[in-house]
Amino acid sequence: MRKLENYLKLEKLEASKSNLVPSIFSENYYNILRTRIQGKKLDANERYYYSHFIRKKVEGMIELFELDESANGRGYIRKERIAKANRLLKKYSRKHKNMKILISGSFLYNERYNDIDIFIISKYDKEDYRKENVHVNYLPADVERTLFFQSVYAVSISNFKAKAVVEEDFDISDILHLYEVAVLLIMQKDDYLQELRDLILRLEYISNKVILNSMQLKIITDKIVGSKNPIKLISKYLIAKVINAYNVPALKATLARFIKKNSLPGKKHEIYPNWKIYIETYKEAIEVVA
Amino acid sequence: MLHDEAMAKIREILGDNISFEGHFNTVFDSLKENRQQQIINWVRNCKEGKTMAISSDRIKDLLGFILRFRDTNFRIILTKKKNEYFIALFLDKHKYYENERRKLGI
Repeated sequence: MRKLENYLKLEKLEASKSNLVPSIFSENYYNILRTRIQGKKLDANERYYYSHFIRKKVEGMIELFELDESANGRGYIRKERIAKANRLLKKYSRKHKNMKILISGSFLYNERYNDIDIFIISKYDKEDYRKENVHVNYLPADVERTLFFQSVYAVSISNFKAKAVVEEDFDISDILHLYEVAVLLIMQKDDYLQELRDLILRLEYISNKVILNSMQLKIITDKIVGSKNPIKLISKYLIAKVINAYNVPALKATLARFIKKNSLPGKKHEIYPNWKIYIETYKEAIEVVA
Repeated sequence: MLHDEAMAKIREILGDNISFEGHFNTVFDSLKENRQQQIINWVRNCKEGKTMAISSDRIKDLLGFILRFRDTNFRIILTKKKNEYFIALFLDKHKYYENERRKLGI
């Protein structure tokens, strides 16, 4: 949870005095709160009143009016997880002083969950680690402007406020490369969830400037992974999204280039089975925009 | 198996010109034995044409074979000049792999 004082502004407190005193705070309590917000030192007596009475009243109001700014995408978060997430945030904020920390993932929105994902933004390259069911992931300092971060942040409990800005461009080649890798991994029976998530997230963003939150992303990827033919589904999804995302001549030129690169077999081989799927998808996309 | 032994085995399969990139030594030494063996087998399959590849749109005649494990964040890219020789075996964490993949155009 952010510091209580961060929710209150001196000007607002002064402007609201007639509504607060004496119905909520006594004159004395009001003055202590005002002193605290001003960042001035409280004496022992004032500290006692502040922590035992004043702070609790303010916290009660924050809870009552759901003003807890640490929760992003509150509507998606299970109410009973907010308190636990805030406790964890407090614990890890003590451990990693002055660092930006957020808790995200299915722990916040699913009844059943495996891990609790904690993300820590660090300017140093540190190793991720796991402690019991808590998975601590370090992210680089410039992560806040990425699509991935904005998706994670959209449903999270954090000790900071991030600007809703994405400064990443995804050209058509980036998207097709990722599509080709995802299909290859499926055909190899490898795990492809991370590639699939990246692909879906980027497709939604390039086509409609929509930043899916982690819960929405999970719903879509679960449906694809659980389908009988995920390759077909991904291919159709790709076509539906790219045709709206780029100008037609540039799109057609890139698709044609990708068809060509996938049509040249080696001396001893026919073209690989995955290349046939790519070609089919790209031809279909060209037909749609033609 | 330590990385030196693995590198010798891989050179035996792919030829002496293969280079090892990414944090190959550190990552390979940290893998469980069955995963290490999986890499050697996969390299052999790539050599024998049993594995599918992705072709680069950035580097002419470059093919990339990709392997990822279910239980770790590590990825491998093996590159080959089409119809000719194998170039490099890259093994590293996902974030470095992403940069490498972009660089190679696969």
